Amino acid sequence: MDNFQSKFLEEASDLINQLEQALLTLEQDTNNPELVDSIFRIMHSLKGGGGMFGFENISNYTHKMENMYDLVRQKKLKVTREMLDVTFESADHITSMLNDDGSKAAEIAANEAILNKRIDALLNGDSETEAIAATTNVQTADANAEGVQSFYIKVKPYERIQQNGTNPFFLIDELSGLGKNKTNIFYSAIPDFENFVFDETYVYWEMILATDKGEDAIKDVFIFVEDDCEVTIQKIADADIFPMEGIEPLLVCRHDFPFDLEKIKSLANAITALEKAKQEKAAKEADAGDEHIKKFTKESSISGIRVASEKIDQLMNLVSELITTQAGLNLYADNHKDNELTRITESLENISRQLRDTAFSITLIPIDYLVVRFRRLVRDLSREVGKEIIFDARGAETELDKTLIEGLSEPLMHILRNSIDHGIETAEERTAKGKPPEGKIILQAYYSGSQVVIAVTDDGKGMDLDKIRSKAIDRGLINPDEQLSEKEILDLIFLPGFSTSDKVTNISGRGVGMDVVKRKISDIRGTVSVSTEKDEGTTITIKLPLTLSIIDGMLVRISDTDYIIPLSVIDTIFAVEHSKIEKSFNNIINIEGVQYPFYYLRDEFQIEGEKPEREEIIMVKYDDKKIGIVVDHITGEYQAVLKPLGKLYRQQDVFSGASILGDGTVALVLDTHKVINQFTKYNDN
Amino acid sequence: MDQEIDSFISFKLGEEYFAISVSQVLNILQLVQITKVPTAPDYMKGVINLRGTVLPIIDIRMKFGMDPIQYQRDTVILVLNVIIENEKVDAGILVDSVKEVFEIKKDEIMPPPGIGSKYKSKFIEGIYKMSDEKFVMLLDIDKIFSSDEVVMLKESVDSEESATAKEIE
Repeated sequence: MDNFQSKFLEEASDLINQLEQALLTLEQDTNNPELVDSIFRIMHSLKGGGGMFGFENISNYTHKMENMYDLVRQKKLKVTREMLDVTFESADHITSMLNDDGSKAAEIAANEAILNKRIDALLNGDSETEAIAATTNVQTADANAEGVQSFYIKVKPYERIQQNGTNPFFLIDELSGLGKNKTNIFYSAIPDFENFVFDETYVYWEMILATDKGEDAIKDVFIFVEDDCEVTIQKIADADIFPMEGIEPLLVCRHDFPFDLEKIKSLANAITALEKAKQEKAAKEADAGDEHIKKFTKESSISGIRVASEKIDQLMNLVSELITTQAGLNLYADNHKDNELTRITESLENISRQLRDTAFSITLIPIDYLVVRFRRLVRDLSREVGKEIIFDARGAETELDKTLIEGLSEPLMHILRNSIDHGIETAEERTAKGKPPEGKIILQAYYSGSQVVIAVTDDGKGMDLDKIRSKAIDRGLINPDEQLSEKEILDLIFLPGFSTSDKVTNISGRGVGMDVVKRKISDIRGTVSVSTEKDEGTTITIKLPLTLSIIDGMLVRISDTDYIIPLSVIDTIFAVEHSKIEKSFNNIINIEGVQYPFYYLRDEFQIEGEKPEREEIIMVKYDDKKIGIVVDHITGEYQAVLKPLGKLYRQQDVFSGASILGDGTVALVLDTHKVINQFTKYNDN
Repeated sequence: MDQEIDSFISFKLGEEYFAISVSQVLNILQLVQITKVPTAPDYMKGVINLRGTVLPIIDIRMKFGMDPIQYQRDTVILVLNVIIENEKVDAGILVDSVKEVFEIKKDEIMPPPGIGSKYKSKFIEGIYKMSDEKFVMLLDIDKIFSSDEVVMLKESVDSEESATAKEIE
């Protein structure tokens, strides 16, 4: 596949994303002309791009969709549920055409035939489905779209304009035909009689025009004289300014005195703003539920640039290298007590730090990126299982590292599936329990310290602790007489091969359970926990580090090797005599009256050499316990740029990566959770 | 050009000569301090910092079933680009010394020896006779890196067993 085609693919999947978002919003506000417009435009772009880059099938298909939405635009066709369904399925259809390598051609063709039939039915209007009731804010939207706008137009013909056979005054005539206007003519540039050339133009003019034809119509007037005159078109207001109070004195024509445009504008703005506020208030009172629409329109106006993700990765690598080099320079400056060097090093460090922060912020993507997909998922699945479910996403603007976003998609999808399939009851069950018939799933994202928390809450039936317990006993995961706390019982669902649903459905019972969710989340260094209340619902909480590539750590040393332990897991640090460790029984040490289990890393890592007399024991958090890890020496805090250890060391997962120190050597970053897991297992064996 | 010509870089492990196609060699480095990665197999010596990235270092002698490398004045690291499970990976190998770069015509390469050879023929692309009558073994470095086992053939059954035994440990 050539470069252009892959560019198109990327663009097309973006467009389909936008399409889905627009459709979901349109579903709630079926008469919003802006949304219909944007769907039409997306289809149009897909058609154009498809044709240009050799995706004829996409081009042909989107052509039909484009036609359909054009009819909606012209109000010849109404948005129906069937139409939305067909468009949703078309989005999937286009996606499968985009991803097809030729192997699914037959399947796609069959699907297309079915969709075509449905589109034809819609176009012929013999569809049986009823139109979705119009919402109340239609009228205001309509009034806006077709409203009168006021423009300021200044035309300065070049002297040669008449030599091309254009009579500049015809332009005024033509503009006057568009609507109510006032024109001001400037004669001041006419030269003395001696210098006057008969076929040159010295006059220019300005005009205030109120028209309902739009800016494009005005531009069309000048289409043939573009090169012969200087035209300025400015919109003054989204309304007809002529009837406005107090505007008339400003529109008096006095030759050679320009309109006081600033004054006209500010007055017009004030009046339209007032008008708008009144309308908005009315609209708000009429319908408070159009937040999504506003958000959608707002988002499409946010500007940004597209950058290939490799470029960002490259930038991040360079920044990481800079931070590492900076650490080296700091070390050098510290060792050479040179004031000038210290000063330069400090100011350079300041810049590096700012650059690092900016670069890191570039790699962040709002969770909203995922939410669009989830809305679609919830919509489709809840219909499939015949439940009414409202999906609410809060804090979708919360930003996360792009690699985290990628890693989150699948586990979150699975959690949502579970909630829809098992969590939320059917409408009848809910009514019987005195709950509103439609279920609710809330996805909430927020920052908490150096972590991002994502919580998925449903108001379904909750998890049955007894059922989990008995299932775990059935599966041989626990002993029947084992006493477990509520939390411990809930943690059982994260064990491999655990599924509480009695029947396997094609939605969530695909043989993967919460254990996969947990594994995927810990792959991106996150944790997952669950809390539940019978008949009230379940909350699954995911906690993630803000970024994957930089961590605050504690630099420690064992023998001649440096290690980094993330600060986030460290609880306390004690100095300890080696003799005390020697004497300890079963790796339990007594510190200040408390018994702590500990791991002596020197032995676990089989590092030879002389053991120091005094060592340091670092208490790290392991679930809700504290476990000691013994190292030789603590160097100090260190901000580590995390680098992967690479494929060859993939077995050594007790290290989450490596980091390059100021002197150019490599330190290994310990994943204490895995260290404890691995050596516990090893010792048990 | 009548014949395809390939360039190789030759190096010494103990008293024997080996060569790798230059297209797979990125760099030759002086020995630097290697950070040992605990819990890894012995032939995986550790990692070094190569211009800001972390490069794994392999003791190729141990991989071939020889004694571990003794660091000497001539010891260098060859930085290679190898393909492991369809993925390009950079890795360094420790060699006793680098000899030279030489060109070979394709038809001058002799097929790897069959029975009776010291090294498994699947890791050897071919054998070439140098101008000084010495033989050099052209290595298929991708295969060597993709394999977890010790590469030496001598008693293939034994070495395979010991490799599995190591894994169980």
